[in-house]
Amino acid sequence: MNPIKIMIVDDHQMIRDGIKASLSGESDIEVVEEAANAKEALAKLGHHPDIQVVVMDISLGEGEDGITLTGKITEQYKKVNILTMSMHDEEAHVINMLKAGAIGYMLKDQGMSDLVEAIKTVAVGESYFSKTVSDILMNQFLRKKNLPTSKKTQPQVELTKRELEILKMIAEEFTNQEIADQLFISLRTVDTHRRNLLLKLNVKNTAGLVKYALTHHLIDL
Amino acid sequence: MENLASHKKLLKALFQSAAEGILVVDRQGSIVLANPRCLQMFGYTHDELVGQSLEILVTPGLQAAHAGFREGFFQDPKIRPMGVGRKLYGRTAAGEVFPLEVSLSHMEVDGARYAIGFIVDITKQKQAADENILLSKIFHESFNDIYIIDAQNYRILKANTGALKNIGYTLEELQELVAWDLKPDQDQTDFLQRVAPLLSGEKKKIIFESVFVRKDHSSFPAEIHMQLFDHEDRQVFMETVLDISERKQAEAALQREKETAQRYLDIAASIFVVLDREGTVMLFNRKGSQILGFEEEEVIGKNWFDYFLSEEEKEKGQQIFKRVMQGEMDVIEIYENNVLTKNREERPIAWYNSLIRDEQEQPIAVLSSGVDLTEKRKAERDVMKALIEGQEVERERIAKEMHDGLGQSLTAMQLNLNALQAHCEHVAPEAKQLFEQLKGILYNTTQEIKSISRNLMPGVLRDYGLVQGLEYLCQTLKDINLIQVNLQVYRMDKKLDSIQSIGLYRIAQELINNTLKHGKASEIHVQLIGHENSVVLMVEDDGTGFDPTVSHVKNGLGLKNMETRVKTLNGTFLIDSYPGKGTSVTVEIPIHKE
Repeated sequence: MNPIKIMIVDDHQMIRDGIKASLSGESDIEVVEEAANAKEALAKLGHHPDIQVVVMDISLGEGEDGITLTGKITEQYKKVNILTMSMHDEEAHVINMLKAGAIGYMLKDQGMSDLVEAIKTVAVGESYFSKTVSDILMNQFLRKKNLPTSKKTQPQVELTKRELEILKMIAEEFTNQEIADQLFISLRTVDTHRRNLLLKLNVKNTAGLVKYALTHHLIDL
Repeated sequence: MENLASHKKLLKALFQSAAEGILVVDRQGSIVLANPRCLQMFGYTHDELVGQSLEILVTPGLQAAHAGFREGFFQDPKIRPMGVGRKLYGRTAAGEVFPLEVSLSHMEVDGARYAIGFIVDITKQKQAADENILLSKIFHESFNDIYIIDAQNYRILKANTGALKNIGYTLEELQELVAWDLKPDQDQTDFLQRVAPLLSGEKKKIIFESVFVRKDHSSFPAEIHMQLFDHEDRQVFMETVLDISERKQAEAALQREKETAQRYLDIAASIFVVLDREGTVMLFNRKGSQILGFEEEEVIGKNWFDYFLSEEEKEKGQQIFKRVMQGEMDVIEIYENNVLTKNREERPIAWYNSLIRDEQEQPIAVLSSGVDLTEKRKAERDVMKALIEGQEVERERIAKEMHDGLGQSLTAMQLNLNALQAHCEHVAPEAKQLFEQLKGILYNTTQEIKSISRNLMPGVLRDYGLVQGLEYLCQTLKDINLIQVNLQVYRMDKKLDSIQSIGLYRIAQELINNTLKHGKASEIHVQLIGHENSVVLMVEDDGTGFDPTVSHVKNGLGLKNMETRVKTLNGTFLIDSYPGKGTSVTVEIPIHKE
C-alpha cells in the first residue's frame, strides 16, 4: 500500500519540523511538500497533484490565511482533503474552516498523539475532529436548533427573572419609582429594563407590555 | 361870613377824616388836639390823650431827649420832617412801639404858639423794606450762584455775589452776555428747548445738569434749577446753579469702582453666582453666561435648583442649600456637580462656596465661584482613553506573541515529543515515566498559555466582533464552571468600533469574573441589547450582592475601573446591588447611526 502523501502548510518552520519528526516513524505517511504561506502552497500543490492530505494552519503570517487557502484548494483539487491544525479553538474559526472545505480540525495544544490517526481518517475522506472541536460543533448544532430558520424574525425571546418581575409589576400598574423601591434598584435601571422589554417583546408601549403579560399569564385578570 | 362858616366845616371834616394822624401841642408840650386817626394810632380816647404831655407817645428812653428837641423846635419853628436820618418810633397806650414818620409844622393862635405834627404809621412799609433787605441779603449771600435772566432776550440781568465770585465776571460784563454763553454744551436752540415748559406754564420749575464755564475758561458741572417770575413789567428766569463737582467726582468714583468690580467679575475665568435664601439667582457674571449659554437677564431671578440642575442633582442640592440657610450645617466649601446649559447639556462644575451673613450673623446668601471642568474632564477622559487603548494594544501584542510565538514553540515541543514516543518503548520504566510526566507538564503549560492569551485578547473578539466574543467567553465559562452563564443578544446589527467592542467585552468579562469570585451566584444573565442610539450591556446575577455605596467594596471589585472605562466610551454605568438581592450592572453607551 502506498503511503499517504501529505503537504504541511504552516508559517512556523519549527512546527513543520515537529510534524515531520513526529511522522518520521510512520511508513504509512509521507511528507512530500511543505509551505510557509498560501502562495507557496498553491505552487507546490501544482507540482504534486498526488498529494492527498494538506495539514493546514489558519494563521499564515503574510498573505492569505488558511481559511481562504483551504477554499481555493478544495475548489481546484477535489481529491485533496484538508486537515486543520490550529491554535484557534473559537467556534467562528472552526465553522469558517469547515465552510471553506476542511474536513478535519485538530487543536495544536491538545497533544499530538492522535495526529497519525487524524491524517489517516481525513485521507479516506472522513471527517476528524479533536475532542474540544467536536464539543464546539455539538454546541453550535444544539443552539441552531433553537434558532428560527429565517434571520428576519425575532429570535425566541427569553426574559430574565428580573425582567419577568418588572413586567409583572408594570402590568400591575406599579410606577417606575415603586418598582425601583421594591426591587432595590435605581429608577434609571427600571427605565432601562422597561426600554429593553419594549425592544425584546417588540411592542410599542406599556399597553403592549401589559398585553404580553396577560397573554403569557404573568398576571391574572 | 357864610363862606367862612363853610370853610370851618370843611377844615373840621378834613381834621376828622385825615388818613394821617394830626397832633397839636402847645408851648409846654401838652397835647391840645388829636384827630381820630391819631387816637386810633396810639390807642387813646380823646379825653385820655388831650391834656397829656406829648412825651407819653414817645418811647421811654427817648422821652427826655424829645422834650429837648420840642423846646428847640419852638425856638426855631419851621416846616420840616421830624428826626431826619433817624428812625422814629411811637408808643401806644398799651406800650407797644411802632415805626412812624412825622412832618412838623407850627402855628400861632391868639398869640400862643402851637406845634402841629402830621404822623404816618409806617409799620407796613418798614416790614416790606426789611423783607426786601433780607431777600436781597439771601440773594447775594447765597452759596449757590443765582442769575436773573430776561425771559424775552435771555440777557443776564443780575447775578448774586456768589455767582460773580465763582464765575469771575463783573456784573457789567455779565450783563453783556446771554444765558447760554456760560454753558459751553448749549446753544440758543438747546436753551430755548429747555425753558419751553417754563414759558408755556407746563412746569413751574425745571432742573437739569449742565456745565458752566468761568471767565478763566475753567469749567464745573452744575445742577441748574430754573423758575420763571414776573418782575415789574416783564418776566425773568431765576437760575440757581449748584456746583456738583464733588458729587460728580463721587459718582464717577463709585461708577469706576462698580465698573472695576464688574470687570473683575467679567474677566474672571470662573462663574460667579450669588443665590439668595430661596436659591434665587441675584448675580451672574459674563463667564457664567458663556459657559451655560444663557444671557444674564435669563438667569437673574430664576431659581437655581429648578432651572440649572438636573432632576437628580436638584433634590440633593436643594436639601443641602436649605440646611445651610437654616444654619443647620456649614456651607460645603468645595462642591462638584453638573449644571445644565441652555441646550440642556450637562457641564461638570467645581464650586467654591462662601456664605454671606447679615449683621445678625444669619445666612442670607451664598456666593459661589465655579470652574468649568468640561475640558479637564475631557482631557482626563482622553488620557484615560489613550491609556486604555494603549493597554489594549499592548495586551493584544502580548497575546499574539504568546499565542503565535510561545504557543507554536510549545506545539513544536509536543510534536517532537511525539516523535520521541516511539523510541520510549525500549527505555527503562523510570525514563518512560519521566517522559510521560514531561508530556503532561507540557500539555498543562500549553493550556495555561492559551488561557492567559485568551484573557488578554480573545482572537475571536478581534476577528469577529463583540457578539462572537461574548459567546466564546460564555461558552468557555460554561465549560469550566458549574455556573449557568446565559447570554442573550438582541438587535445587535449595530456597528461597534473596536474600542467600543473591546470596552464592553472587558466590562462583561470583569463583571462575570467578579460574580464567579465573590457573588456565590447560581446563574448569570448577560444581555446585549441594541437600542436605536445606544447599546445596553446588562449583567445580572442572583448572588450575595453588596452595598455599592461603600467605596472600598466598589474599588475592590474593580467597579471604579469599569466606570472609568465606560466614561471613556461616553456611556453610563449603573450598579444596582443590595446585600442578599443579587447584583445587576447596566452599561449603556451611545452609538452613532450609520
